[in-house]
Amino acid sequence: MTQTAWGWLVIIYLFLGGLGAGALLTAALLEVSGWRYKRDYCPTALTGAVISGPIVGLGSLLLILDLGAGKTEPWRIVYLFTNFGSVMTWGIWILTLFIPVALFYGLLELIEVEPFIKGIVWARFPRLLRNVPLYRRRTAIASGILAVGVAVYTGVLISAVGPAVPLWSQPVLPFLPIPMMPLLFLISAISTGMALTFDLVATIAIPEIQQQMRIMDLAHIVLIGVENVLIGLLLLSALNAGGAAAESARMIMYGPLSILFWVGVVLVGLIYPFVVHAYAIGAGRHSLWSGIGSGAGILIAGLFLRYLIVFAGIPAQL
Amino acid sequence: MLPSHWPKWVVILLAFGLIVVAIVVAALSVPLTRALAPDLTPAPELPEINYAEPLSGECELCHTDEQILQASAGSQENVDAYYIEAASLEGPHGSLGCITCHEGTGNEADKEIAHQGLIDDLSETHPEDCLLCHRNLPDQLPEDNLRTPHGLIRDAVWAGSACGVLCSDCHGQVGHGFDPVTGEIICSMKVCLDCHQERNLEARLSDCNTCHVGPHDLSAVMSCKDCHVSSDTWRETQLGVHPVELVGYHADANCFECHRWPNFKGLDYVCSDCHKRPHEIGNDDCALCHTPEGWAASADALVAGATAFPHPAIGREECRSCHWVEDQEAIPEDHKGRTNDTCLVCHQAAPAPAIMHLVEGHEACLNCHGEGQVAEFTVDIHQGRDDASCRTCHELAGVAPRPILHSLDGRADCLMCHAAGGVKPNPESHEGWDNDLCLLCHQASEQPTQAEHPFPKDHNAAASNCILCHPDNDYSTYHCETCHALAGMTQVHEARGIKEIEKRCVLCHPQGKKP
Amino acid sequence: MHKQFSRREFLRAALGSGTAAVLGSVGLSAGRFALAAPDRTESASSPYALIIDTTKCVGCGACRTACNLRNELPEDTSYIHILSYGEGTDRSFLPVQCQHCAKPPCASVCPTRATYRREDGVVMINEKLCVGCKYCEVACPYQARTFDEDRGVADKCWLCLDWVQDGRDPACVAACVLGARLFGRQDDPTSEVAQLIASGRAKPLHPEFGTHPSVLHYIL
Repeated sequence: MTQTAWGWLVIIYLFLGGLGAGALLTAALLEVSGWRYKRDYCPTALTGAVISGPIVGLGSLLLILDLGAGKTEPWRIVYLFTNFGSVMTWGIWILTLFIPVALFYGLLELIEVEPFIKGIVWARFPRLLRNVPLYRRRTAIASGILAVGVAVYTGVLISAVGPAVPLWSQPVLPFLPIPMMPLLFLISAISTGMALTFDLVATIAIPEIQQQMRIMDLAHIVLIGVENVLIGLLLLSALNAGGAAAESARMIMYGPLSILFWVGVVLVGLIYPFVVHAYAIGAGRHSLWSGIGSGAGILIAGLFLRYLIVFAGIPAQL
Repeated sequence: MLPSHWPKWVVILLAFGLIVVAIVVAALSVPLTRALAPDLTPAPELPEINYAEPLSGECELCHTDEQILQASAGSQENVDAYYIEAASLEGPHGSLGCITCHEGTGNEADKEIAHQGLIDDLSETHPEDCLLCHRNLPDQLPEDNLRTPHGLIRDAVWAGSACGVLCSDCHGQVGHGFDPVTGEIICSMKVCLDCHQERNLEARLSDCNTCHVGPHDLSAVMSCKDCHVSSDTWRETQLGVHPVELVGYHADANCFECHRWPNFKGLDYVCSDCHKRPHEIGNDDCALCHTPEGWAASADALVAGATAFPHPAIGREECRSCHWVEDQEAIPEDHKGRTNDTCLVCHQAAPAPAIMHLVEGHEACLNCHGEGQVAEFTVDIHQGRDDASCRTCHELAGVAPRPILHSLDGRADCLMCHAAGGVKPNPESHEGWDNDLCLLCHQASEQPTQAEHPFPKDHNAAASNCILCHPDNDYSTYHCETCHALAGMTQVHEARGIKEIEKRCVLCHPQGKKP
Repeated sequence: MHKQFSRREFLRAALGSGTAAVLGSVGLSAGRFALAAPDRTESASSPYALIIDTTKCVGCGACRTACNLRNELPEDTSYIHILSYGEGTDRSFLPVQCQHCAKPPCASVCPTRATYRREDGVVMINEKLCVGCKYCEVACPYQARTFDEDRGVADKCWLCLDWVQDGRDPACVAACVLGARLFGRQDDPTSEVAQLIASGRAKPLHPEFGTHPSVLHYIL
């Protein structure tokens, strides 16, 4: 009953694309705001910048593997760049621009951390080393803008099918002609990116960092809160719309996807992290393992959420 | 938490690792959550596509597998009877699901239970059930070229009073794999005739038109039986009446190679409807030259039978200007309509014999050549001709009769020398001619003038003996070697470095003297 | 514990970028409508019309079988889907296939422009350009598009154009024994299909999808 065209490969790409974009945005935010320079080793910024390019690249590779004739005759991929009326073409342009810039950003972060790499750069491109922080800042801004594009365009892509899959084209608010999916994808992307780079990686590397970057608790609460609201609005709007959209919402809320939704997304990815971070703000202290746990929860809930959206995409009733 | 001696970039590997873990965990846990989650019943079902699933059951597992059938069916006959090809189940009836027609108990692997309540062949036992789906059968199908009273039959089947007529009697084995595209509806008139012929039912079926409508609209000119020989199958046709006799290939060809379906229209029986004229000459009336038995053969036959015309064609291309005029050469009736350029296809020029003698002074041809005359023409076509028409066919030979090179004094009897067997016999064409004819053509020649003959005529022994240098009376060339042997001359000249002297004597010896 | 200014600075940066992100997402979504490929053909209608009379359809699937046979499709796919509504003797059927829309969403979302609409209104796929991303399959509101696994390209009803141009009917129309399918030329006002459409009895399916089906019409 649900659409059968897009499956696991697309879901993992959405996850990786959002994650990579969000991770880079986290890093870029820390870079631009100057918080990165609180310490000369900022694992969040390092991780965010370095993994973003490869992960989005890997996701794009998965997309190519999901193609049909484009796999066996790869030169056809050039044609993907040609139809500017199609969101998929925008996406491919954005990805093509983003990945090199993100890789460059990652390089600029790695230079600070690993002398071996710095040595190679010094040997080949010594001019690069003249003012790494400046270049890094500029690259962060450029890649950050593109990262927003990467995170958002997938939402636009699935909402562009319009009446074909009503769940995907639900508006943010009934009277507002802005689709929900791009916004939801963006928030989820930032949330998962932050969860990976900070709550998981940075905390494992430097456990006390959670205490030091208390701002992250606030950021998480805001993001989770917004995400919560958005998902709730999406389901309400879908239920209200009737037809296939309502069917999708029913499937998610009390149908075959209900456990995945309530446990995998809401409990693990929204409620638990929210409680953890709210408690951390309120009580003023941070439990290490709950921080890591909430990070893992947000991360995996991001994947579950994309699974839900793709697999609850029921086409319009005829 | 990480050992401090580890390099800083290890966190990157950690990040990748965590991503992989997340994906793996999700991939494993999703099926579990779906399995545990409730199904969406009784939420309204969205329309399903086709209704095969609930109704096929396990029937196919046995009935499409020969081995299983062999194990349980008993005899080979049973196996053949119950075996269904899996491919045929993809037909429109097949995909309805077995239970739709055969009843029985679906979803049962046990044979006894599965066969409970089974209807063997729906189309034979419960024909009215066909109508449960095919409910909108109109009384007569509009595209049907049979006025088959489907409505009557339908109603009769419903009422059980159809005399045992079943849908499958006409529609053949509308089993599982009925192919609707080719529309092979196996109709046989025999079914209708069984009842209608024997039992004097409403329509006696003696007149094809009672039921059959067209498809050809030829009822005004032909009757069905003219072509359709069998009422078992209308496809068998035999050519009965055909407005034009068909010969040669035409008799063997398929009707539709020339005619257009369905009304045999579109052919005014002009050759050019089918045949393209390959040659330029002539017009579209192919029959002028060709017969349908065989184009090439008829043309060859015509050519073979055509008379040759006795005059040359050059300069006389306007055949009709003479040959269509009333009092001129009569033209056979079947040549009407032919044009000038067609004459030469069959008729070849075989010019009449040329006039060998001078015409001046001999205009009254018939004086010698007429009936009973000296040189009478024996060919029949000269009957009734007059002097004026001779030149129409006979042209001057362009070869002047040879002049007499010797003086005529004391030589009145030409034949003394010139008869056959004489010193210088006449050619064969002169056979039977006597002395008084000779001078009609041959004239005493005058010696050539100095200008005509610069070489001295009294060159040694040649005086008055033209034939020494011009043997065979051939004055177009000269032969010095009659006296001057070629071998000796060649030797003499080569000693002086002059080669290839043949026929070039006069070039160096114009006066017959040594240079 | 942290300096006030850096938190404020962080928040400012976050808010700034967040706003930028939201605006960006709005902008991209709006841009999609602006940049959507305009209707490439001049007319929104088509000279051809295929009318399906659902009052006559008994769901036998002959059209589907004929289409599968003609196009050598495996049994589990088809260009024609026969949906059923109701139960028992009140059942009604709705065969759905490519509607050959005047504003085909499959054509506008196709990133390689493999799907396009011809002058005569028939929507065709240029298989040499198709990469098999299946975006068109998702985007068609009539679920009329299939995917050919073997060749890795998208596939759909092509109106049996070779037969149609020869003056014959498409396979599905030829196969329907009950006359539930009519095919003809809309641009000939004397034809049955043109009259049915003009009288309003035959209508496009689900016009609220906004795709303006130009060839297929239904008598419901």
